[in-house]
Amino acid sequence: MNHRSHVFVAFIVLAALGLPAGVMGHQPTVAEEDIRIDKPRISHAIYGEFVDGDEVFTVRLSYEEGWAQPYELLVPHQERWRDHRPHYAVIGPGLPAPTDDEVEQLPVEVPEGAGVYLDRNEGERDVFFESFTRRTFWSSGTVALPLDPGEARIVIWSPEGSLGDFVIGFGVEEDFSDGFGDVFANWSTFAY
Amino acid sequence: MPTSSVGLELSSVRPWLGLLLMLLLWPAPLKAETPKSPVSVGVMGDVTLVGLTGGVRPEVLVRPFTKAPGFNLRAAVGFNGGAEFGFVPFNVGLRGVVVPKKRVHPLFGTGVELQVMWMVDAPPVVRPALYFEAGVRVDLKDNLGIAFHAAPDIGFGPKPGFGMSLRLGVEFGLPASGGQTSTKSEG
Repeated sequence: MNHRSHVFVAFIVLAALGLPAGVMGHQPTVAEEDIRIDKPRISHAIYGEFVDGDEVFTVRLSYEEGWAQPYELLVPHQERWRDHRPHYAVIGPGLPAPTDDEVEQLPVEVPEGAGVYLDRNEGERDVFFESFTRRTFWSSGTVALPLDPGEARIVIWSPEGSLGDFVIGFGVEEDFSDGFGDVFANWSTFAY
Repeated sequence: MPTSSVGLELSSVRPWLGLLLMLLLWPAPLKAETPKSPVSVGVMGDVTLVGLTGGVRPEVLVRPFTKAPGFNLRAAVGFNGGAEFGFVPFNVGLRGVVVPKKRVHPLFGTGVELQVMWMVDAPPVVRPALYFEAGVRVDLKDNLGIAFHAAPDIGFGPKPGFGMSLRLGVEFGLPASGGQTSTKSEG
């Protein structure tokens, strides 16, 4: 290779190495039926799948001081999941007390003193393009909820028993100091 | 040429008594050079790993300098489909072939890309991007080869992101119109 070829190749390598610097977004995680998030202020996207339809996914959060942050439930924008509309509820201190109708619909009991925000994922949904993983989702819409200090949880379930993928997103702070989670080990979950 | 055996029979019974005036060594077969076109076309199967889509990405390569057969101008457009969106990238860039006269050519390239993501129920997302490519082409014939490219990209604008495209396909030189010649230089 001549000198110009060396410069050309070096430019490409340096530019490729610079790619991760531009990566920002939710911290991706694969959902388990009961999962605790250690840093709930960080922006998270938890990917799960209803395989049987009767699963109840629980995401546990703990706040040492009051905190308000957005929540959003996403379903991949694929024709097979057009009618797949999981519900989610945020249960924790500082939220309004649940109505009788909400208590009846919730798949879990509400602890003493906790309030509830229930999102039935109804109506027309926005289409959202997640540009880092090039995914397209139906969004339940973003809602910001203020929570008091204490234990809170997000509960996701499929009231109609529909099967399919979902993503629960919450948090505001961009922080990848702990790495990119298990994104590369679960690439098909996040990127397809 | 007392030390040469050029022209002698193997038997050495009847030695050659002629005079050898000149001996030429040539690096290639002595034949008329085949006119080559400065343009070749690639038909590449294309899979994007970030946001899974698949399709084809035809490309045109133009070699504007006969004395630099490894330098190519490249234009391409992709037609990819996926479960969540259709992907149409437009590329313009450069491609360098490291050893254009060998049968196996490593190649590197870069350029700009306009990425269009078509979605149902929503307006398309359009963003500019830079792409990079590395790969290899193996010549099957003088004007035909197979190629593999890995091409990362980074998109900018209000919907930034990055991607990775893997491509496998064929490249063939268009018929020459005469004039330009080379021994073997289809980048």
